[in-house]
Amino acid sequence: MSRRTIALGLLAAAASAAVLVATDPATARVALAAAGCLLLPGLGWARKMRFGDLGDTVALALVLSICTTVAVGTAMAVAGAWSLGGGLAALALVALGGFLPARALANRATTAVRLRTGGPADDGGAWAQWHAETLQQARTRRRRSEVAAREAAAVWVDWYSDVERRADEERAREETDAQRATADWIAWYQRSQIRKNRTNAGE
Amino acid sequence: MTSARPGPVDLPERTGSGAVELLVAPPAPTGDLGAAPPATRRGAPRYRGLAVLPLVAAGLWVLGLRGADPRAMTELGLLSLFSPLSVAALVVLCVGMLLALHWNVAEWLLGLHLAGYLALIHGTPAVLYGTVRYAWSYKHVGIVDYILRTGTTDPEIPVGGIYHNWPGFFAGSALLTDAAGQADALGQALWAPLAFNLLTLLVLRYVFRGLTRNTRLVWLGLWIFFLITWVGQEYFAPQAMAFVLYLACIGLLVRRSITHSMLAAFVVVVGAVAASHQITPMMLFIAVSALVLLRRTPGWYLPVIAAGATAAWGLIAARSYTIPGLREMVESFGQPVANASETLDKAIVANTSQLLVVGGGRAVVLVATAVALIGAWRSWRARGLSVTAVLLMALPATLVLVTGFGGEVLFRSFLFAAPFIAFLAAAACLPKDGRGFPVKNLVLTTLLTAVLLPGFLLGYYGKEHQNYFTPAELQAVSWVDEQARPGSLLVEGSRNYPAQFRNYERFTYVAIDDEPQQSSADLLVDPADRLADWLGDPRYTDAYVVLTRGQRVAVNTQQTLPVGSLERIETALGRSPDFRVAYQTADATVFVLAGPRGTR
Repeated sequence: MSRRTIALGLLAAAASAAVLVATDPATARVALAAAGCLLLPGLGWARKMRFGDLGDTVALALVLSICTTVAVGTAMAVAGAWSLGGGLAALALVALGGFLPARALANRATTAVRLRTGGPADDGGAWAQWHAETLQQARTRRRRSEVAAREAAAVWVDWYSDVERRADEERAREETDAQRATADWIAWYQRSQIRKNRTNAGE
Repeated sequence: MTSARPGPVDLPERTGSGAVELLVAPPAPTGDLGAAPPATRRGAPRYRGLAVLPLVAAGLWVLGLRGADPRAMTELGLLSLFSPLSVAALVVLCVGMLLALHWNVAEWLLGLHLAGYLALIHGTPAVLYGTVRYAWSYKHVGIVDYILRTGTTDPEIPVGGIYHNWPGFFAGSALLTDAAGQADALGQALWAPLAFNLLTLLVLRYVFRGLTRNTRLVWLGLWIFFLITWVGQEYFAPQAMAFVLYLACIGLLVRRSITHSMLAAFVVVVGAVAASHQITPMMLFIAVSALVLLRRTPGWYLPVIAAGATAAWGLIAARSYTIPGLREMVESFGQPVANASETLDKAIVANTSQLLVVGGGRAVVLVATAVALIGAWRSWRARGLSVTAVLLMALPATLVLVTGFGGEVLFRSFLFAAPFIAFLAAAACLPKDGRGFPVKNLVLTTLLTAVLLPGFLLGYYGKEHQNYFTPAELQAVSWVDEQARPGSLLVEGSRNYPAQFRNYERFTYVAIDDEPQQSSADLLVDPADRLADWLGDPRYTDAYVVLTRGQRVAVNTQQTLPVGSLERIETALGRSPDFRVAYQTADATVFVLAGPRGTR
């Protein structure tokens, strides 16, 4: 699914939500609550697992969201500290954590700290430049490997359908050969029988 | 270009070292792939026409049930309301699904057919009845109501204690209800069967995709699964949610490799299961242990995580329930016949209709299991056997050794085995080499569908006349819940009515058909006198007798009391000067004592 498609889908969802809120706030609240409790908390985390399949991603997103809602609700109920605002805030934090590129942010924070504390060992910015170039190269490599993976998947699908077609052709050829062999055998048998009958008649 | 033949189950089987042996090795991409595949393939215009069929089926279904009155259901349940158009709708849907499989269309088309089937089967009661079906749904709504009112749970509560000790599902539902601004969870309960089935569709597809890359096998397995699961455990209950989470755990484990993120997801899901249900963590531990021990999945720590989470919750958070219940569990351990009998004895067969309903469900189990065994054997012969699927099909039978689970263990065993029974049955319907779906196999699959679907409908819809409650019953029970003071006694004809969904902990419930035989026999001799004694008990602040249509149907069908008993009790109370009618609707009557309580 391309980014354009995702962006269009999100835009359509946002527009639908706005219309619903304007026309039927009660139903809109139900829909938003369902999305907020049953889809969003786990969506980012499911995307990070990179299944490569929309159905699998949505399935895990729903499962992880349900687990998060269960965990937050259970914690509040068992502790006797029920708070809708607190519960929704916890779910929002989990959802946010799923969408944030935690590793990239951690890398940047580490870099920033090192830059600030690297006074006596200041190399005139060479390290920072090297780091930026390395990140850029890593991004380029990742994009290339994603493209290669998509092409490989397409090739596999094509290969599989090609294998199926070839197997069907092979099967048809084998059937034709078998029929021809049977016809040949029948012809040989008939010929040999005629010859035998003639021989017997001659005797 | 050379290639190996793909088998019916062609995902690599895992070895203990984690090395993966590919049964099918696609070649490296080259410029020349030979001739282009035929033009008529997935998503091509000719096959998109199939998308119309679910809509046609939905239209026929709606027309077929238009004007149907759920009150007119007989002992064949919702089937008694079917018309030829309803049957035609199911036929159109089945034909569409089977053609879609035969033509190997895009997955969204297959999903559309299956989602359409689920919407018709599991969404119809919500639309037709207008009320939540099945008495246990209301009890679960009552637990959510308790959490919403008090903001906490009470593990020591005398009624419904098991739910307060495993509150995960209810607490999650309470959070969702609160966030949606709803007063109760009845809306969730109404649509729970459809929602849980759609969720199961997505998660089970994820599981099957971990066992095979053959798309036909995946979707045929899904189709057969939804044809055989008549046990109806997807209502608003912890088991429905726990089952989906169990499948998700299995799906994570049957992948090529387990990454750190998948392990983290496993831990999260196991935790949620441990806090929500009792029998599912047991099943999960058994399944995970077997998969690890037989080297179907790596990770010696996985059973430790499953056992640890279950034991931690059971012995810490739920200790007030677990420790006293350990004795009962030890007594039922190793008693498979007794445990299984608890389930079988619950099936009442008093007439031909009930025999059909019970027989239909059991026939589905037998036929599906037989076909699954054939599928396993064929796959083994073709050297493509999914040992994981066979294992996960067989393991739930061990639950019968452990517990009777209140007479439900056989249903739960079948529920956990059903996905893999369906998977292997689907393998039986495909050619041995797993390639294509020739007409011969299509005919076999059609025959199988024709055998399973009627049995499923009997098993799933056959008891709907007991599970249906009218709005008038709900109205009467709501009145009692609002009017009765805390500490009141509610005498009910049976437990089959929409009870305990609001303020449930404030009342004491006594079901007449639950009484010991001698007590109920004495009551039936002179109901007014006996019930007047009960209601006059000074221990209770108020006392009511609640008699509803749903109770009468259940008692007369299951014969927990002589047929017509509740009607005679209602007549006797109506005539007795000791009682007056406090509230009455078309389908329910609430009696109270006519005079001051305690004067008898």
